[in-house]
Amino acid sequence: MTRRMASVCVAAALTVTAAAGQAFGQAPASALPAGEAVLARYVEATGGVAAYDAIRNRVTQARMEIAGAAVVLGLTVYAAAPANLYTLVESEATGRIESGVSDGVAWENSALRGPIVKEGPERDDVLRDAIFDRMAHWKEHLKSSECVGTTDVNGKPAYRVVTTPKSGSPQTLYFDKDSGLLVRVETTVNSAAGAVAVVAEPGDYRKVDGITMPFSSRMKVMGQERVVTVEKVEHNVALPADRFALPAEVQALVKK
Amino acid sequence: MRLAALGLACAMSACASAPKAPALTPDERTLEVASFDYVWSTVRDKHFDPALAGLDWDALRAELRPRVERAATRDEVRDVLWDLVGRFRQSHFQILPSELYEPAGAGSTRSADGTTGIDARLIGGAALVTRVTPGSPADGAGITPGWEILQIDGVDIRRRVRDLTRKYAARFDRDSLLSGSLRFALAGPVGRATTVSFRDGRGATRRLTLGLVPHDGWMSRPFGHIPSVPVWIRSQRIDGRTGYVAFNAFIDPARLMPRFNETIASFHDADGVVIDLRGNTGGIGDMLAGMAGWFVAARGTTMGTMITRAGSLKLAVLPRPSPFTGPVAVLVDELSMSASEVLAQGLKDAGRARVFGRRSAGAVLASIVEKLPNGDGFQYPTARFEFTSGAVVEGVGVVPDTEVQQTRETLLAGRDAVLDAAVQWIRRGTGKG
Repeated sequence: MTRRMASVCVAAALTVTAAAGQAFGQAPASALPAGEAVLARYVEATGGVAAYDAIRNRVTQARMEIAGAAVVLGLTVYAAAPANLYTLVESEATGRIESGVSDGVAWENSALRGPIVKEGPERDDVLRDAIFDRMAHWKEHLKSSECVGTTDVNGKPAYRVVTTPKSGSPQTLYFDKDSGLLVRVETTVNSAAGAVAVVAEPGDYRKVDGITMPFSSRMKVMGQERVVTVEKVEHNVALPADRFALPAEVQALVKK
Repeated sequence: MRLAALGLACAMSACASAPKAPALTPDERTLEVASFDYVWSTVRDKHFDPALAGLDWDALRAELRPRVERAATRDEVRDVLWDLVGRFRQSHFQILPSELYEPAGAGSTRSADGTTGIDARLIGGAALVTRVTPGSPADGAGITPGWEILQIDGVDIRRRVRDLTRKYAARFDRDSLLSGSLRFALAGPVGRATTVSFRDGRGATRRLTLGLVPHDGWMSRPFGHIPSVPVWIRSQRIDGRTGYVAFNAFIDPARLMPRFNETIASFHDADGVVIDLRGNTGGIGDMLAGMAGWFVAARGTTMGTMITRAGSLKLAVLPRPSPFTGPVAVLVDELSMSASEVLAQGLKDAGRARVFGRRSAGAVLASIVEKLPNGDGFQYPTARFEFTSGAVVEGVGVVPDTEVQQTRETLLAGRDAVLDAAVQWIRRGTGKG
């Protein structure tokens, strides 16, 4: 049997994508900079609050490869304020796997697994990742943040900031001391399969509509490596009115 | 997926005595040595057991690498690689010949695209036809279940079975290996023909030349380094009452899952459902949760836990909106492998199925397939399973609740003894028998 990792991978990819907009909180009582300061610097380094606020939705096209196994999945993510998310993962071999957040409902739908309304920690994580403008409005979404030290990431020093969101799992974020950019995320992805530790390293930062964002991310999940490569990003797109509507199969579950 | 022991499967066919591959050039030998190193280091770094089953891995490298450096042909290198990974005595190690990745078509050397329409198993030491696909060349030739296969393309099957039975006497997967080899020997490229001698139902010897035609179903889309393989799904209502579904692999979910879903949904008013996993060699584990969800209503049910070197994952069942709640029978045999064994044992542990047939292959590990520098595929295990009942299946097999053995007599009588037992159980259980 080949390993059952697709759902975890997708969740991890979304988490990493979302981590580009993570938030911050209180300053630590040490010589280290406050977590808030590190994170605020990241916001400035990537474009500033005004630039983020000017963007109301984002469409991202990417591909995710399981390193060594030659498995490549197409990934399209629609995200919009305040907290709408629709993700389509597809390949000829696996078919289509849709997931998203609509009106506070975290869901998934595919022939592979059927319609699912997510619950518990899995739901909390997905709802956390769906918040579109948490970068600009981080205080609304974090319980705390603390810069707890410095660590070399790929040979360069980085601040290590532990963030605890109001909903969802804590994450440890690493910010390059020189550039202020996010260079590593350590998180736990919750799913029906349990909690899985994920380490992701965003890179290949490029500026799109005033926002500097990662165009690649290398993730380690359960000892295997995944590479997400962003191919296209568009902002403030005219989306169909039903883009974030629940699929009928999921809607039927919600009504039960 | 356990890819049907392809590296050993030709043991029963004419390819066992085929000419060796051409001698390696210096450049090719460099690639072969690199492939050995790749296999050795990959297992060291990624096998689910960091203790590597207690093997002295460094010593094995020192012992076997010189054999690769001296090898004259790629076949010799493959033998060394099999020797290396075989020390684990575990399933899901495979060296997949690069030829399997060649596109099908004229001149292709790939060997599993075509079928005569015969499915066969080793039963009581004899190679017996267990099923004939309607409309196939075998069907057209009048072959029926129960006929004994005596020769395939000049290879004496009875003698080969005796030899291999002795050779593999100590292997836990001997039965699956022998039946898998038999199945492989009957396959070949579409358009070719194979000559098979049989002992028919009256004991007469019949020598027939059968064309190889495409399988029922379709060839899967390649998934990573898993080569394209035939995939089919069959379903029916038995006596208009009992749902029956069979499929041969957990592969190509984009096409298989919609068919499976549609089939099970159509059984909503059946008195029971039979899931026939005999000969199902497994595949992509992601399909398990969605399939099991058709038979389990309770959220939080798991099919077991997958243990990797880095952590564990539950195989959580995802209940469908309207699951089937009636009796479920699962049929297995020695060629039920991997994901099919997980589904059988998992549904059994969840109290949702009774298992009928013969003990399954005992090949229950999760794995991935990577490409070696020489172009061969390399499948290796990355996780083991723990079932909720504590059952040990790897190296043992799923033990049926009701052991049922086919015989030449029942097959010649047109009966499927395993299916019959399952249907009778369903009807007894529901008071409709």
